[in-house]
Amino acid sequence: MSRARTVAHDASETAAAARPAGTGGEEIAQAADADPTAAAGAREILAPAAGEPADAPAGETTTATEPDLPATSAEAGETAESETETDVETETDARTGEPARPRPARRRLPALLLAAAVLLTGAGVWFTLEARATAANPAAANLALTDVGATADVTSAVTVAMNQIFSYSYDRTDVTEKAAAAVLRGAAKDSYDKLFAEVRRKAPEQKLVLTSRVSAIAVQELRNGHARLLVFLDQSAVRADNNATDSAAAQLSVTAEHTDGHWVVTALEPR
Amino acid sequence: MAAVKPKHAAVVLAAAALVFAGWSGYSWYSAANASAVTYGVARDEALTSGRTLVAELSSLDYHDVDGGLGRWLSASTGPLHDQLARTDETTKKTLAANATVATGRVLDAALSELDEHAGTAKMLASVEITMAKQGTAPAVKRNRFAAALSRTPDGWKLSALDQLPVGAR
Repeated sequence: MSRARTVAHDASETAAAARPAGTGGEEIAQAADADPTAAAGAREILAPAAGEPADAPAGETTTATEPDLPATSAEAGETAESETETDVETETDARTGEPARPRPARRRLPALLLAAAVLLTGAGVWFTLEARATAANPAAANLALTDVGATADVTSAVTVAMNQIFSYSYDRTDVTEKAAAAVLRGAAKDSYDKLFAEVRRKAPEQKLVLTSRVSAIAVQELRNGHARLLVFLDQSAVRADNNATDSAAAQLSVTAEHTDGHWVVTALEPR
Repeated sequence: MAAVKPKHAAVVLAAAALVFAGWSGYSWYSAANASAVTYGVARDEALTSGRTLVAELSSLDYHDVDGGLGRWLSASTGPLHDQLARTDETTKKTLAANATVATGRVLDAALSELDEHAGTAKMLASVEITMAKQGTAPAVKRNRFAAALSRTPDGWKLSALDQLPVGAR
């Protein structure tokens, strides 16, 4: 249906709403008359890093130029000694890490490798944590639509359940009751039973037959055997005593749990 | 020779760290690109956007019909956008003369289909529309919609919004 068209045709209504207004509500009100179930909401339904290497060349240069120093001091008559001294000194420097004299690059290799190992381990830990967080993403844990088989499974189970529990014939209400007992649990069962007690009492007087059919259904959430669905129902009611017919639309938010190998409905909320 | 041993140990450590980083990096990459994650994220984005867009297209304030139509246009794409873009002056005047403020609120919504590659989705939504007209009590209606969503460079937009009356399907 075209929004703009609707707007144009239905100008008295308003822009936003499309379908002729009162119909739904009035029809339901009538249905409620015909099928006087209680609780307002439900009644409508039942009645319808890093860069260190920069220093390395500088260090090498310094070391290379060093032998000159002892050579100049040879005049002091300590040539041999001072040469060995220089050697020893350089080595000692490398070990003690005296800041004044940079170490040769190859001596620094283990330190660099260790630094790299630390950095890589840190990165590895981070990646692992990220991988875990991603896998635990609620979007991934929700299997609605992503698991086609499981989505189809809960969709068909809830469709069958809704069609059964919201359809009844005044002379065979026990059939509906049995179906409801099989698929409803918890809060859904309690409120349904209350409503259906009235149906059982009043439907025979009016010879009421209610037929509900799921016209559209979608799974919002599906995880760990728990599902939430949005269900659109088309309902038609017939009163056999005066042949009055009626139809209504209903929307339900359904919560279902997977127990003992099949889906049961634990909550029903009219929308 | 004393320096050799720590060096070897450092090489082994660094190599092990490299392998660990490489493996964990790969597992992050594969987790982030797992279809269950990317598809699930697309589904949740489409649903969140869809709810907002349907509420926008269910709302109009007669004080600012042009602004409202502008929002409708920016919320829609494809055929729905074209249709809304053809709204003529007469309709706008009618809307303004209506003196009604309509406010849509999505009560519940769920995606019934999602094609992540094509960037399309279908959504069901139960919407409560409150129509406030001065001098009268506000009227509240519940509507059920089937919406089609398309992914555009600006995010998800509505390409269709249809009411689902009784017996529509």
